[in-house]
Amino acid sequence: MSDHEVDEAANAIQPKTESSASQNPEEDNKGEEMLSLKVTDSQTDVAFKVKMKTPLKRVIDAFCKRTGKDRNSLRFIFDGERIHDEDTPASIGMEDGDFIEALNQQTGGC
Amino acid sequence: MTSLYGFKRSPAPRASKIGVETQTNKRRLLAGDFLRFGNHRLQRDAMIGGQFSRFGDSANTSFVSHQKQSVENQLVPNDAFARSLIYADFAAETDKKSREIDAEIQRIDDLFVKLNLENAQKTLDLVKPKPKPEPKPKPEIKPEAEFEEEPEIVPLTAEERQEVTSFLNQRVSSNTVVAKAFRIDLTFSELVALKPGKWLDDHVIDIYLAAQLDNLKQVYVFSALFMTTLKEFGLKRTKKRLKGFKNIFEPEKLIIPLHVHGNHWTLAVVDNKKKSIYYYDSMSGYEHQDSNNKPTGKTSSSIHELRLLKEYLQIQSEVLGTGDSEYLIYDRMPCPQQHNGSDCGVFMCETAVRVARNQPLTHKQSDMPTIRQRMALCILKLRS
Repeated sequence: MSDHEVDEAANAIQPKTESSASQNPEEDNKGEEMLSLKVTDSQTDVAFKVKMKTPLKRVIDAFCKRTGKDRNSLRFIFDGERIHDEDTPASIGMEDGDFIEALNQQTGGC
Repeated sequence: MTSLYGFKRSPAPRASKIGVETQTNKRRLLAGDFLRFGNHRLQRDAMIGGQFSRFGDSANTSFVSHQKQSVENQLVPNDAFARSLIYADFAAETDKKSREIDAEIQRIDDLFVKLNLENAQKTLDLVKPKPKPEPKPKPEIKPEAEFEEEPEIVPLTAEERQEVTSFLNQRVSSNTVVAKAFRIDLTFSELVALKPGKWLDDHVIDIYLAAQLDNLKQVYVFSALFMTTLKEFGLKRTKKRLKGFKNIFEPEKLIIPLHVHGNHWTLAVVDNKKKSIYYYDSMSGYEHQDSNNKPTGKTSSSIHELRLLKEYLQIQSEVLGTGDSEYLIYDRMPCPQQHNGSDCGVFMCETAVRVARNQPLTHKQSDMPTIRQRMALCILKLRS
């Protein structure tokens, strides 16, 4: 994974974080923790910097945009469990440097 | 009248005939010879005890004649009454003894007969082994009796069928979320997989198994994506992955859906009590077919996945410090087989539910449409 990717990913998520920029200084004053996450689909890793209470939906949407995949055909997993759109790093106990794993939808019949 | 030794004397009327003067002799006899009589008795008893069988009655006769002489010599020789008294006593005594011996022989005979009967009964029991194997199979059946009763696959009522049909045929876009449960948002496109002939995906399987087995404390259901995650990303991050997990060695059984060959659902069950991994494949032995019904040359052996699972359990037990982690793999468990190329997910779900509930695996291909409808009904109920 290159630094370039990190920048791009950061840019992808940038507008959303900026949209709440007006409130950010207050939150920063509270000393809210930022942590870096990586989303990996076994071909590419994409890095993100998020706050503890940022819904992971944002990260997932950014990843789908970045990789050009359909959200509904992907599954995101942390610690062997699915990530729900409303989860935040705090709610599922993420730490700095953790990975989110992305898998394709699994179907089977025969 | 009773005799010296308390026997009833049979020739009793003789006393009156003999008269009064004999009474003194009798008294002398009673008083003086009691000791001697006692001695003779002992002697005779010894004879009867030791030699009765050999000499028979002759021993008694010789003794009686000897006794007769000695009594005649010492007592009044012509006293018929005294003689008769002695004879009577001896007769009674001998009679008693022989009766005792008869009783003894009878007792031994009885014992012998009883013993013989017992032996005969034993031999009969040995010869007649058929009644025994009948109770024997019962304990063998008992392990099967561990199974709960076989669940009945009840066809839906007309109302339920109507409800399910409208649920599966509602007019919404494919991305519409139709059910939210167990942290899964099920979209309509995933739900319609429950129509006959379609392939199930991980969301449907997870939501159904969670709904069916969430209330069972002794069973922990893994996500259908769990093993794929292990396969794709390896075990290197396993330790990291564990921190959010509860102790997987606590529940009796772990239900782990496996996605193999990219197109097939199978089931692995970890039994923590028996330290075993069981593998159920609804298409074991069949060659896999591609979408044009041509065999792909792949048979359903998923030993790679099972070894990975075993390795995972090993690492997990090291992290948790639970000690023994040697699991045996049974990779060909008998289970109902599918006869088409679309029902493996349904078979897998039904097998998982039945194994978790300890029910016999008796479902078959013809039950599948009903089970599909039941699954849809189950998800439908979660919605509200």
